[in-house]
Amino acid sequence: MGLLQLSEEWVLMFDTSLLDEILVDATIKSEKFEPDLVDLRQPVMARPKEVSIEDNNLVDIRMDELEINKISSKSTLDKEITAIDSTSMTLGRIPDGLVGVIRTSIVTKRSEEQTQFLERYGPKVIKITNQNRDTLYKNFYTNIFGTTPISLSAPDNLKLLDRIRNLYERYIQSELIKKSKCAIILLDGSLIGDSIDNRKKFIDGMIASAEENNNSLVAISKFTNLSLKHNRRSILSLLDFQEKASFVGPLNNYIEQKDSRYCGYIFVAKMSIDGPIFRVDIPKYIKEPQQIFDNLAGMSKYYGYPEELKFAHSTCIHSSIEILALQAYAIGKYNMTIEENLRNMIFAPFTTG
Amino acid sequence: MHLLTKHEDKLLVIASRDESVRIGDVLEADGVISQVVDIGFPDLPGIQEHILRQSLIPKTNTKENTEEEIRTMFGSIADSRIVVSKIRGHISSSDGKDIFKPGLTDFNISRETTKPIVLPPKKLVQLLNLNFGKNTIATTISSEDPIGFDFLPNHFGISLITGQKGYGKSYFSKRLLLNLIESGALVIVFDINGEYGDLDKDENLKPNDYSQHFTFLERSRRQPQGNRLPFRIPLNQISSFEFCKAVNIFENQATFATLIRFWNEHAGQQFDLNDVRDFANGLNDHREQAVRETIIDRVRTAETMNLFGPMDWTQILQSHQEGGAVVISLAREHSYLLSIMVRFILRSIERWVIERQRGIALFLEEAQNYVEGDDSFRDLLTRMRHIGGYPVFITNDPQTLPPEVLSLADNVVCFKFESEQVLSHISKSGKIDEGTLKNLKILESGQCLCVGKFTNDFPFFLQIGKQDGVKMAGETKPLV
Repeated sequence: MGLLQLSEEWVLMFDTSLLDEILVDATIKSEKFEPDLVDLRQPVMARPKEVSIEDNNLVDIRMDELEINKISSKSTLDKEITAIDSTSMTLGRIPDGLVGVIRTSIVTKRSEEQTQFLERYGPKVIKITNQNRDTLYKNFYTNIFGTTPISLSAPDNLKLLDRIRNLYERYIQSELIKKSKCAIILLDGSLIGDSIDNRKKFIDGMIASAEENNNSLVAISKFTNLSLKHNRRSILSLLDFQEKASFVGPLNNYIEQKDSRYCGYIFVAKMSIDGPIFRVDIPKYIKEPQQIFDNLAGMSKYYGYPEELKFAHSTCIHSSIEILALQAYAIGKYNMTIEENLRNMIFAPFTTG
Repeated sequence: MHLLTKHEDKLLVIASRDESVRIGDVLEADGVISQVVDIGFPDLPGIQEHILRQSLIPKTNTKENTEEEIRTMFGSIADSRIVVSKIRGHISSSDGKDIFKPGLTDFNISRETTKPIVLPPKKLVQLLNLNFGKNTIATTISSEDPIGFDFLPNHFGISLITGQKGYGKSYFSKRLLLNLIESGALVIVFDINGEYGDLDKDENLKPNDYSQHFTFLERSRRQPQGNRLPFRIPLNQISSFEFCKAVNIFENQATFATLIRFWNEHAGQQFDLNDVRDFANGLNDHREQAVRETIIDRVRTAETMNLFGPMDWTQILQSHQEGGAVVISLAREHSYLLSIMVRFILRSIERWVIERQRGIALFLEEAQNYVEGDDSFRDLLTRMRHIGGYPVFITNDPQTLPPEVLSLADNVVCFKFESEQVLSHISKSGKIDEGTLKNLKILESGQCLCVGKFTNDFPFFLQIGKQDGVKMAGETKPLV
């Protein structure tokens, strides 16, 4: 009973009904469905998120010009930490498109507690066809950003699935930032605006909300297209030879293009000894990034990656049996038919086990 | 349910969580008959990964904003079960009637179109041509309408009832005994543990409906009381060897030869200890003085044993020939007396069975304690069985019985066993495969696995029913 009360206090439950309505395409007719092969013997690999190809600027700095800042792990017990992540997966093909699925997870650790809470949005099953993709994209984009997309024609079906995931995640992020107070909010990605699917105004709005609510917004990315001018290697290589937890940056002043789309300061950081290296974007209103990195190290003690973000990632991924179930659900929901030979393919992995 | 695959003699079936299936259920898949011997989850990395990921954050701390239909679908797959069933045979048609035939050489079933179903036990017993009456003492353990199951007297042969202590083996034996009495059979019980002594009473220790059908024989008893009679062996019905053994006269003693002479001179006549004493007193030759003294001394010893004397065994058996039981109390008997008593009883039974041409069931509790040597067992299992003595071996340790008991058993009824060693021993009977036997580990009290003539060789998982109106006793006595 106690636990239930706790979780009810924590529940966020953002209203996603408008977005969900857009996803339900009433005009869908019954069609043949070719489900993606699911191998239950293998863990499911999440579809990698699209890294913004527009963010391929060069950074004109060398290692010896940088000041390496040491990170001292600091307990985050007194902090509220919230992490958010999302994934998309395709369930299968239809003659004119695909059926995919997206899911967003929010993992929260409240101040003075160690327990994590999970709130998930989805899986949301989406059917994207050559016929509906422009409308779907436009409606989704407009609903979140309040304006129509720069280009009214949607990307190809597979890219659109990832865009919709990203838009959905942005919506949840912005709602979360508005609702949270004095929290460290961890995002998976960067704080870049004015890319195809991220309006700068929207990102700036998120940052302003975060500042207003005394939230520390931190965007962490495992990949980046920003590279060093002298060797064209990723900026993550700046810490390649650093054994201890450390960070460098901000790097914004060294970016050749002086791009105003970067809504935050860009750092490269390693949160634990032998841990992976990340790009970390922190809003400019945060005056003491050292504290942020010390806290990040405190919440990354096991794997060099914040526990809450790790859990958010782990819980939004669709497992193979979820994909199987979702395929079955989609077949029923959209009244699709599955070809006999393909049915065998779905269950083939069972037979060799 | 859906066919997943066939592996050797096993059919693997996928069942959803809504489909009711349990160990022992019989599946029918387009005429192929198999029996469920194991139920588990599909143990695949993808599913394990799903469960592990779910365990990251407890369900109580999780709020899902997901369509109910999708959530239900996830549960359905995670809770899908793999049902391992052992192929027993197939349905064949004979004279327009469906019958069960063991074995399977054709394999004409389809993963796509064959829909395995749980075969209702009623249909199974029809296929096996088993017909049970109304007063059954067990019910089938099955997810589809369990039915009553009976241990029909005409399906008796050599039977083994076994199971570890406290799981219903003795209770079942007693129910079986009462059932046999009701069926008009005559049963002799070798009551080594003193467990059958109250079967003629109800729970309040008042005579019950069966009391007329019981005779209890006790060596320690001096006077008959109701249906409780002294157990005695008429001296002329045992050999001089047995008498000598009972009273401790060895083969190398002169007395031994003298007693053989007495037995030979009185062959075919009735005689008792008084006649032996008179014979001894008649040994006047001074060379026979020591022999005389020894015989008189041993006769005195024999008198104190309460073992030798008149007993109309034929009349006792006769009185129950329309259905009854003679319970011979062997508890607290010394081993040297046990063997004499048991040999005498078996001889008497044999004589009666041959004379009357009627079968007798012999309930042998822990027979290894009183059936001496493999020859005696072999005699029970072959010759006795041949003339109509149907032994029922009851033991909590089947390893103590000679291997022939298992290999020749017509029926095996097994209650719970946890010991791998015992299960492996039972599997040597060839009656039940190891895959099925391992389910003995998970049986509850009062549940058993039965196979043999009772079941037309099809393994049945059964629940033994409760017996009212009889003091079944047998429970372990409390310490305080």
